[in-house]
Amino acid sequence: METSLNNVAFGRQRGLRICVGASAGGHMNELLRLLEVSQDWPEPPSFYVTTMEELAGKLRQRGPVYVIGECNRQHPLKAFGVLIRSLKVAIRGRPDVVITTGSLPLAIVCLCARLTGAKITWIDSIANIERFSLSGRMMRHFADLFLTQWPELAERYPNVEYVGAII
Amino acid sequence: MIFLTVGTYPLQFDRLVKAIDTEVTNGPIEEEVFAQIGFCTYRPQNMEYVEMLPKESFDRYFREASGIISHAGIGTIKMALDSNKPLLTMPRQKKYGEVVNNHQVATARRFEELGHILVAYDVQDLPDGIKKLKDFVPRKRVANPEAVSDRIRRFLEELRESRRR
Repeated sequence: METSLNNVAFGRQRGLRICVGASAGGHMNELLRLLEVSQDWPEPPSFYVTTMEELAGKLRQRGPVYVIGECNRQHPLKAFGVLIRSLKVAIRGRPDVVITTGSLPLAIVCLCARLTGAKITWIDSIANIERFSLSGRMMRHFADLFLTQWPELAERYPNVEYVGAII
Repeated sequence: MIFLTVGTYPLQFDRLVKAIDTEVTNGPIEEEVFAQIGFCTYRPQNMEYVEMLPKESFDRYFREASGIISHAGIGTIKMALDSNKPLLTMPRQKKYGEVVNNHQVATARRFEELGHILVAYDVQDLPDGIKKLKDFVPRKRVANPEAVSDRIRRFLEELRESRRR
């Protein structure tokens, strides 16, 4: 009895706060396709993250959206802006879990959310066929569930699962 | 109408836009071309273009086009497969500063092998690709997003249970 009261006191009885995100482009197409078939998840996503305002409109029909901006490894300065906005996502959004199809900006969101205790599901893009991208290789060490969409890649790495391709 | 798109990738892909712009006047393109040039610095002389379309307009151009020419981004490839559009891709390459790694070359090669798309690996291959585009019938792709969603559902349920304990 006491335990359950404690749980209520610490807000643990609330449902999972699920953050779902993807960069513009193919990553977002993969995420949207996944969401189309995700009706049986225990909770719907609480909020969304993407990198370009052009794509936020479509997501806003579903719920709150954070736009964190684009960056890649050739623009380290932009990554700083993305980092600041990702920290905001982690602190204000308080996700219990982040589910993403990449890419680098979303890896930064994952790392920030992990600092605040969130679990990470990383679905590596179908565009990575022969090897993972830099962000995929990095997230392999931090993700609690790491899925690839190519069986060959799952065979090559431990802790990487293949169950099918989203697209 | 042929729709040319270099995707939303935040780097230039002038090589493709310039080559198609040239083909419009002296190459095998018989239809008009409309281009979304994204982060390109080159400005087309011979075709209509915009930098970035809102998603709804992008979808409309995509639907109305008889064929698509694009970078080998997975978003465009998926859209073309879903709508059964003939697609000619040219992969972005790292050595030209168009992308940070050469994953698009691998993507293009795999989807070409599977009969889903046409590929021009370089500018020289474009005229031939454009000729084939008119009659290209993409092979249907079988994916299993339900299996991926189901794996995530199990993960979420385990997570919820562990938080309740």
